[in-house]
Amino acid sequence: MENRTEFNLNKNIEIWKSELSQKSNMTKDNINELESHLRDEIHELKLLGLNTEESLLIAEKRIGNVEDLSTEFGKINKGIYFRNKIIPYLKGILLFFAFVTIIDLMTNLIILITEKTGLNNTNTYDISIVFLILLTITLLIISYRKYKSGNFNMQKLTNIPTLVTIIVGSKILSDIIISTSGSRMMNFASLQISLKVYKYLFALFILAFSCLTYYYSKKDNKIEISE
Amino acid sequence: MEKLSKELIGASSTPIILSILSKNESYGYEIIQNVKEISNGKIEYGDGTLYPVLHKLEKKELIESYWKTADNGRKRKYYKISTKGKKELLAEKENWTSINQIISKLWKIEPSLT
Repeated sequence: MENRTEFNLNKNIEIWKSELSQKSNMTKDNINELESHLRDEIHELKLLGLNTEESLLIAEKRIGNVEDLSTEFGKINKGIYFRNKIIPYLKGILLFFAFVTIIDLMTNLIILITEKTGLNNTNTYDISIVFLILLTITLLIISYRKYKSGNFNMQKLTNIPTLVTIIVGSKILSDIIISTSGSRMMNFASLQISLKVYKYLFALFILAFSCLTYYYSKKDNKIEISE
Repeated sequence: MEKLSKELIGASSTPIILSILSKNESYGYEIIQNVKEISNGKIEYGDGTLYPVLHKLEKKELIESYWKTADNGRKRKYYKISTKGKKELLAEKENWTSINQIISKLWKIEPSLT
């Protein structure tokens, strides 16, 4: 019986910790410190004759509810708070970037295909339309299927490392395509690059900033419930 | 037992915590118990509210923290006063002594007026 109670206590404390870790302004260290406090409190209450469950209930009550704790810690953890607030915006920007770089990649791919197959300009236009329509339909079908089967995971899609990989990956692919293709695209591409230095600088800044934000937010983050 | 006002507790938290830590290294739970005992229950820090204060003092480099395993095998985060903290405590002592003198002076004069 005693063993079962002990197990429950640890499990309940883990649940309480994970609730705290959901809040955007507490670090892992903060939560571990509060846990140590909670355990001290439980120990004292047990000495007064309460059982483990009662002690946990009262100790949790005394330490304060999750909202209040989070507000108090938010006052000193401003950096963490800022990072957690900025991440959704960054994700939005990255999503847009990913979209643009993928479209760029598609454009270059189409130009490459028409060049290699020796088709003329009118055909390029037609092919690109067909290609984009096919791509859109494929994506729609995939997302619909995933949605139907309950596998559609927005979080995976807006994960910062995934987005950064997509952006950098399609940019590199685009560049490879440009460098392997004929003179027409080379001229077009070099013109584009020389005009768009500012765009690239900004993109680099956003990418670096996202990676740093992601790194730091991982560093001060989250506790999983252990089974 | 009558508790002190929130403002007064807040204002006095730095000198009180620094004084306690100047005697011995300690951890959150112990500090709360200590203050409660010394003040005869007039000052009772909320369980969750002491830690942000401690972290603020740590950010100002007045105290230092480190994790230590206690005798019962449990880990606790201990705090100790830094050299900068000792200086700050001296300054706090002067400030509070001045306030104490001013108020004592005022309250000694008052009865003679009536």
